[in-house]
Amino acid sequence: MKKVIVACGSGVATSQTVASKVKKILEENKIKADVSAVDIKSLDKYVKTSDVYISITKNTKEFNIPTLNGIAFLTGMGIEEETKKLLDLLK
Amino acid sequence: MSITARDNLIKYLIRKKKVSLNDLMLKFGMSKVVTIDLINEINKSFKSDIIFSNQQGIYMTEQSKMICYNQIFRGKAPLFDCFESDERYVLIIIKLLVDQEFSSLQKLADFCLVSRNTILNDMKVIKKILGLKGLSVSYSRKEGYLISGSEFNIRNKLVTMVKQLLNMPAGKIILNEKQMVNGEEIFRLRKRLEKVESRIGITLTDEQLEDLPYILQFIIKRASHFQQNWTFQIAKYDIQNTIEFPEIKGMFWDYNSLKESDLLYLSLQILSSNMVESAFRISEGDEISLATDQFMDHIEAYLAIQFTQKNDLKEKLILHVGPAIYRSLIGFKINNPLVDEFIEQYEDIYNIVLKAVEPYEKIIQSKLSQEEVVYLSMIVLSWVLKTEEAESLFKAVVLCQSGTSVSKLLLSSLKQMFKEIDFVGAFAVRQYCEFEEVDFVFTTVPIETQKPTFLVPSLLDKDSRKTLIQQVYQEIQGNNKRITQKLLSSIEEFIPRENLKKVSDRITDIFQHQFRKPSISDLEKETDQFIFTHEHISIFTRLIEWDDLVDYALEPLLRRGSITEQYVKVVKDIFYSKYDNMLIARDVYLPHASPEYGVNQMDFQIIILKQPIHMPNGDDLKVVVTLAPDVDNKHVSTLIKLNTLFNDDNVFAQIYQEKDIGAIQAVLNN
Repeated sequence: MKKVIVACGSGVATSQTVASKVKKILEENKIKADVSAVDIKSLDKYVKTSDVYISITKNTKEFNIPTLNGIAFLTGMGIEEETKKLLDLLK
Repeated sequence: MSITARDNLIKYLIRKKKVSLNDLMLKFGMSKVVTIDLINEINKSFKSDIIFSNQQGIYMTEQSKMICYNQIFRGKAPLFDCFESDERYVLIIIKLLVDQEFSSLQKLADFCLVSRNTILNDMKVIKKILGLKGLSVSYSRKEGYLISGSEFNIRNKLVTMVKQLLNMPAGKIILNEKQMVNGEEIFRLRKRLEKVESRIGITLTDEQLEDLPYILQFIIKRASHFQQNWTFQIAKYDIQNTIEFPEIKGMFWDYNSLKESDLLYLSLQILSSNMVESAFRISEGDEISLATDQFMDHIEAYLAIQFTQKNDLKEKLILHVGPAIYRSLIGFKINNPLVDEFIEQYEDIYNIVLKAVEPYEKIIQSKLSQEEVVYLSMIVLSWVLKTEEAESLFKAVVLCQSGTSVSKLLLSSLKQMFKEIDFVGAFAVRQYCEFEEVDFVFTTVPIETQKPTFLVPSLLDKDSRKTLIQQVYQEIQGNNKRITQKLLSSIEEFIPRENLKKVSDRITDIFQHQFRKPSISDLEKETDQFIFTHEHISIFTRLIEWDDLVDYALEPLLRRGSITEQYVKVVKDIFYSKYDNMLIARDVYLPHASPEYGVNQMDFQIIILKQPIHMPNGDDLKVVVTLAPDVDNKHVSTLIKLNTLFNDDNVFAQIYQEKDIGAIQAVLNN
């Protein structure tokens, strides 16, 4: 199963909300993937085993997995584009 | 001073260790005064003493011999017109071991400046010398003379021979004269050795620093001329994981043909090769076994306990201690990143083990390093923690990159924490594929697997234990299919065959339908959503300063005792530096921090700012949701609802423009 990782500063609120929204989107599209929210400090650890990274922080670091804009999922602005990217990545 | 007299005297002294004045007078037919005058004149002409005399006789040091050789003889007349038999044996063995070219009887005779018959006789002695180390000499028309046997023995012999030659009078000069060494490379290796010496904090004796470059050069020659795959005992002793090895390996960065075992062997030479054989003797004998018995007795006495399965423990200890003693003897210091952390957490065990290792220290006749003692403490501790395994529904495996004692300790801790999980053992990551039948994987390094995986630190402290327990039970309870299967397989034998299907269907039904894990949409509908009362909503009609915002926003939570002052402080730090991304919906900001910074209970506050605050990023701030998050993420469902509400432009406008708190409350709780 592919893994999606969502990170924000604390890992308890924003990333959790985005993770839930993403899970729902995936459920609706009948795509099975493991979505989890983490705090920015443990990102390095988890990013190695993930396939997609949804970022809600200012990107100071590049990772070698595809990175999506988490703010889009949170605010709905540009969500269609990010959703399409996400679904393509998980297919 | 006659040049010929000078050259003859020096040439003579170079080949000798020490001679008496009388010998010189007889050899060169000179009077005592003339001989002493000649020596004085020579020393004067070199501007420093190169010929020394004391009560035992007259001699040159190896350094002064080299100076004279370089200034007077090198590249001119050959210095040697014959070799002693001892010198020949060594030269022939070295030549056969490092030179790949065809070595015929004639070639060896030319090389040693003797007749073929002499070489034939020499070969008889050489065969005996080599036979002692299990090596043999063969001759074929195709290959010429060839030495064969185990590569490890061959290399040891090569090293011994090079050392022997270097110890002979003018040994280095012989090597130069016979063009067996490359001076530039010797110089380069020496410089690199000096660097490695300072980097890994060892001190080579001057003699070692003099000789090692030569030894290394010959090993490298052997390795590159006789490329083959070979291994030796030390390869399995985890030397790669020591502090010294990578540093030493780096010294040979530009020797591309060297294999890992070649590099290991070179490292051994640098860190004291003379210990190699005695170390092997010890690790093969029964001294370690006896010392281990004593070690376990000590621990039992100090801890006043009796180990269960003592033989297994002994086996484990020996498995670790053998290499540890070996490493200590030859001067490798094992890398153990957990030393400080372990000693801090398990100081008692550490101190007891530190006392109990005395039998081991007797063997190596020095102290075991702290790192090694900690590894032993880990093994001991894991045994102390060993408990009877409970009947278990689930199987799990513990994976770890290297260092079996680390994973053994982790394994014991996990066994204690999760009695319902049957841990099949602790293994290296590369062995994982053998354990595909397990339900869970606990690993200290991220791995790729379809199984539920828990990434755990090597040492579990209080916090990480807590988190891990939560994660594991979430996984166990969250996956009803797994529970169904496990339950069925565990009670299958008690169910009459004809009823098996019925029972199975019934259980499946109960778990997979009635106790189904709530989906996201269920979460949103969930009734335990946060209920917003009057006091959870604040409307500010006056302008609030940006710098005061967090104080105002958190004040109601503080008043209700939901958070601590510390939490306020942390939220301020975080929010004012990262507010850009702390959103819960479009234009709605969410000052918060992790619950561990001081949350007593989950709480929310909705702040409506009738006079928008102009933020440093240029945007206007109208609505703020302050949050005191719940440890178990119970706040998330409410956040999702708020996100949906505020992202709806109409709802946002309605809430923002509303003057009546009751009306806002109704929208929020709807």
